[in-house]
Amino acid sequence: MTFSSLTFLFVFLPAFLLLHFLIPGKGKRVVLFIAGIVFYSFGDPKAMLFMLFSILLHYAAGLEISRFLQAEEKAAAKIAMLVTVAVDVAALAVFKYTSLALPLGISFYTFSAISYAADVYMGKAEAERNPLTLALYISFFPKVVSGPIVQYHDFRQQLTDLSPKEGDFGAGMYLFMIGLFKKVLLADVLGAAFASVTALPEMASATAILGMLFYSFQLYFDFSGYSDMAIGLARVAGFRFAKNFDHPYLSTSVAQFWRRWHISLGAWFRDYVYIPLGGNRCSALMQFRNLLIVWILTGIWHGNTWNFVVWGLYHGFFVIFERFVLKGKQEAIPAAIRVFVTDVIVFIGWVFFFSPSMGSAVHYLGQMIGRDGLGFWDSATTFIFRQNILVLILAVLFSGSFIRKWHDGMILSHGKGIRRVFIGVYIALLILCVAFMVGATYSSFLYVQF
Amino acid sequence: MPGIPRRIRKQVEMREEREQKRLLKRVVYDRLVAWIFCGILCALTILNVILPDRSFSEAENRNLAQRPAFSGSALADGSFSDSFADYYADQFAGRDLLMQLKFHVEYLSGKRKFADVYEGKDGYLLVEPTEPDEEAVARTADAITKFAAAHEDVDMTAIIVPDAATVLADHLPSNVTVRDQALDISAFTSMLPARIGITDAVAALREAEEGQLYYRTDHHWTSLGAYTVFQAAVPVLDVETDGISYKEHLVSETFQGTSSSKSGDLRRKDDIVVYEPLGTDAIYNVNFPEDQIRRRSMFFAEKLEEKDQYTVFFGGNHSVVEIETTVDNDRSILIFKDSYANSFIQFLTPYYHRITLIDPRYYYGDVASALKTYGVTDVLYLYSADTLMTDTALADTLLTGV
Repeated sequence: MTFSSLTFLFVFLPAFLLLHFLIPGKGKRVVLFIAGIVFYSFGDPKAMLFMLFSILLHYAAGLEISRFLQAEEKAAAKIAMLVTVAVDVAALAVFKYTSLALPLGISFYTFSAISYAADVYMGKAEAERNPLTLALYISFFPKVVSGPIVQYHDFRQQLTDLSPKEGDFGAGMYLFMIGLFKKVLLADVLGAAFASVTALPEMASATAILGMLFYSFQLYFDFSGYSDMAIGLARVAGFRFAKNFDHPYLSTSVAQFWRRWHISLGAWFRDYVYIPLGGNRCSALMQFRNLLIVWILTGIWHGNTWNFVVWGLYHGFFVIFERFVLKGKQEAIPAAIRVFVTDVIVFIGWVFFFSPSMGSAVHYLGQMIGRDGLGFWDSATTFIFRQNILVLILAVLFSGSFIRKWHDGMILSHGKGIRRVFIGVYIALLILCVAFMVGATYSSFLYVQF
Repeated sequence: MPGIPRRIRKQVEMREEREQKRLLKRVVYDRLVAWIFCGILCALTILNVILPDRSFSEAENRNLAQRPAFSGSALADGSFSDSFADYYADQFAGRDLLMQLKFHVEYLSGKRKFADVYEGKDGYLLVEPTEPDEEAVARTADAITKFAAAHEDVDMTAIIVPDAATVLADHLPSNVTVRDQALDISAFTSMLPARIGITDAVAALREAEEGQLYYRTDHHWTSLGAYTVFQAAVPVLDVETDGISYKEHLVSETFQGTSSSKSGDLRRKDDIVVYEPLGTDAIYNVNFPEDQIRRRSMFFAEKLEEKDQYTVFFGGNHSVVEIETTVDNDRSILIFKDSYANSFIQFLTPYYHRITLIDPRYYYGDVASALKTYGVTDVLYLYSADTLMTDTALADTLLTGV
């Protein structure tokens, strides 16, 4: 079950909201836990057992690590922590590199679980004595499938008081709604546009470039929309998660892009890999090694084929190049040009990301520079361009912060009339969302085709 | 804040107060939006619970999913959640209305291709042609060649009907070019032996002056399209048409075919016309051996009440249809065909004593004995290119008769 499915919006969510607001105090935790189990088992019931195993493993490991720490046996604690992480990594590797079905959300919740073991070891948080609390953290339904990868110590601090705070419900649902619009009305439409490009056996350069743009914006609105929905739901449940995306396509460098794209993943790698390896506080050579490790891991985390490793190294190359070669000299170039160059780098990177293999990535890049011999622009390009230009313009506009700022300004500094107009627009968009979601299941059965 | 002048302190306080007010305003606004959002969710949820389930969708031309039975094992293997999601979507309140909303919004935004259907000019829905399966095509041509060699005393002819997009290429949306089936068809007919008489349906349809040759909402040709090709086929079929004319009967103005179902574009409806031969006193009987039914007409008026009105011709496809006429000659034609032939047969009844239709996709008999049983003098292959270019059944059937 994803947030943008009919069963989530029209069965699960109303039921959850009702229970969450009716049941007081600590009962809310139980509601959240059960909601997590139901949500997860509707998506992937077979993998439920594995998640429960992961919860129990980390529960036991946390207590063990903290017992060693209390006895001042630092080395033993480290071994206990490393063994736990090794089991996690091994499980991830087994599921990713064998033909076994990948359990739903395993990349995300395993990273949450590692965060718990590491936080206990690093003293950022106490080991949890109540298994329900740890279960709640790992199986927390807003984030279990696609993040954000909230670190345990951040999560734990907020768990003490789940009674609704002023403004949480409104702000949370509002963010959820915006995320839903992004996902259904932009990402899914762009996804269909991208599919119409990749279905072509041959294409002119501009068609391939359009396809790359469709995918780049699809991925952004898909993931950031999903993150908005997750953060919004968490807020309704009384948790404040930091934002996961911050207008990444406005970044002026690749390093900055990674501080604005999937922020929680970058923070996780920084806090649990890069800094423990020595971070910036070591020789240039060691820094170089640390960055290389982080970028290879980032690539591997995203997928199990070589093109993901190449994609990780590709980004790593630009980050290292910016830090060790450019050293900020690029600041002299106008920001608009830096944003453009960064986006070109990032968008070309997505070709490695969306291609099923290294060979097809190279093939697609070749198509972008005209390997099919159809020239730069042909009639098929015009057809695809005309069909999708509207959504592409909307995508570009909504990737910036301009519309949000304008919207926020309008509703605060003008009278009731304007706010009513906006509310009318939301209602129309919501109905359109439902129409698109129902429409996605349209299929005509043609029993006598010919 | 000692040391700061009162005036400035007051300004700062006022600014903070303003900021506080703005925040509060935003909280109130968000809460209102949230309540409306949840209100709509809940209202639709309740509607979904109250409204009765439907069993069939006219618009989509299919049965809708029904509430799945709950069981522990179905839940555990994930099949329950899948079928529940299908059920919930199929039975969603206002499904057809929401579909139409989506179609119109997408159409307005510039979309001109829905599933594999192009929104052509003048209201034509044009289906993307199928890619030929080269292996199947070669095998079919080979089977036809062998069959011709095995039955030299039988006259053989072929009519391959192009799809609407090939004939109405100028009706495709701007900047769209699709596969030209004229090339596929000529490549195919060039593989056939010279003794098989070919009717160039592409040329006949492309040269036709006026009139609607294909349905706007369905992939089939109209009766007029079939008639146009029939006229071109007269010399090849070697039939005597002097003194015979045809009278048109408009039998439906409400036909919405497969292309409109596929695309979701329900804006238009087609007319269906059938032809009655005049100047002949020949009558006929139609026999459907598989159903053990005999009828006096090839037209099934009752099918005009159903969704797929094209089945007015013969009630749809059958493995075998036998037509016996009072025409006083010894000509017996065997037609290997797909559904395009169904609207072509209406022109043939004045010329043959016996007309037999075999649809190889549903036929499991032995063609050699069929040739004997019906005393076949003529064989006609009548196919749409869309079917023929991917079909394997025709070759299978023919090879039972060589």
